Amino acid sequence: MGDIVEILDINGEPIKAVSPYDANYPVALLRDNLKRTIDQAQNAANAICKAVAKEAPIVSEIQKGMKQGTKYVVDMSDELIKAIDEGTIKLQQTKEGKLCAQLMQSDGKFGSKLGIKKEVLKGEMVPTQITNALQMAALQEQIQSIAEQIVTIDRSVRDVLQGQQNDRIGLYYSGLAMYLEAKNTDNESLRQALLVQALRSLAESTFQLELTMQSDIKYLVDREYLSERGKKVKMIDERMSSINKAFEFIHQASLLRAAIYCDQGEMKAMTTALGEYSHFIENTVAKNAALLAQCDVSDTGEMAGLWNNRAELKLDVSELEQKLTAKEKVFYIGFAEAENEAG
Amino acid sequence: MKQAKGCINKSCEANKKKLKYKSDDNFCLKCGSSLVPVCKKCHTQLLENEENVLCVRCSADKQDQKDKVVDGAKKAGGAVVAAVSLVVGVAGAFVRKK
Repeated sequence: MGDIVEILDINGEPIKAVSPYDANYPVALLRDNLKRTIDQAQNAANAICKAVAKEAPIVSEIQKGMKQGTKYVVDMSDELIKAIDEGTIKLQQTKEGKLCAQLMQSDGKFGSKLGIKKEVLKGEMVPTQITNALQMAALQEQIQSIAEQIVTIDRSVRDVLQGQQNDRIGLYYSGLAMYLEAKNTDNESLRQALLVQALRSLAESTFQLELTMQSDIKYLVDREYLSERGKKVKMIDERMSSINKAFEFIHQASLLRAAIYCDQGEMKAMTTALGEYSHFIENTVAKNAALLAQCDVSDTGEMAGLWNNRAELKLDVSELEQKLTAKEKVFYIGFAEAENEAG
Repeated sequence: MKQAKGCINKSCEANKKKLKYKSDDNFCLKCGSSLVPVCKKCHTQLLENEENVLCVRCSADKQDQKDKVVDGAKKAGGAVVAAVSLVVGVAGAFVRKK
């Protein structure tokens, strides 16, 4: 049984608990997180207002309205504060243990003692946090509206999704979309984050589809379709359809990953991505090409056929990899001279 | 049963017409290309060391046909048994009445 998570409505009202294994969990978690962000922003904004009111005498005056009088504040240099903290000097205390400042009377004698309140300034918030919090507070209405829209969209999306393969293909499109967004993002940190996410989505999509394809091939190798009475060809065709679809997206996702690495100047990573793809072709496609050709209605099984062609897609990245990982890189730059036929 | 052989030269007439050669033949009589084992039904290329005469898909199709015949026969047999038992029952009742 899954963990029970308490979810709050966008308006702060508790709604029914959702297990992490429930289809509603992601949207509920997002809604909860948005609610928490809004609350945090509101709290931060309130704290900022209070802090400003406390620190600024004019604002303090406005806040306190008509309240009048004089307040004396002990002003100490940084060196004195440091010395007190280190214990090299001490503030005088009354018999009750309260810190005090002692008055000197007009006749030169020590007078009554005045209390000193100790206030610790925490300085927890940095300026960027303050700005973000204020922005979040200002965008509360929009965030609330987006949260409501997400709930609606999530409901309609779940009706559309069909099966696990669609999810995996969806990961590919997610990676692709994030990469396209990253290319059009000016903020460098956001761009990097989007690229990382895009690569992650594409890698997940690739490896999950590879597992699906391997499982489908194993079904054909083990001849599990023989147990289906009168539906053997139908079962083979269904598996082949799934294999063809998976292969298409594995191919696209692998190449897109390599292209992104290349775009970023990460040649070693690009080589690794291509090497992984080549390894997959060699171990999954080439080994089973003959069987797949026999099962695929569109293949003739010849060397020029669909699956034998795919088996030949093996990429030789070993040389490139060696050159990139070599400690000493030497590039020979020269020019070719056309041979003089007469000479 | 021995595997059939076929020509895999795309431009050869034997390939276009999906002509089948005997398993002992090694070269195409039309173009002279080496012959390879092929499925007797759809002409898909098979592996040399395979013993099947049909490719995986055609073999499955053949078994599906067999399954359908067996299932059909079972249904027909069931209907015949039911009809015979009905006739016997009616006749028995008629005899008892007499």
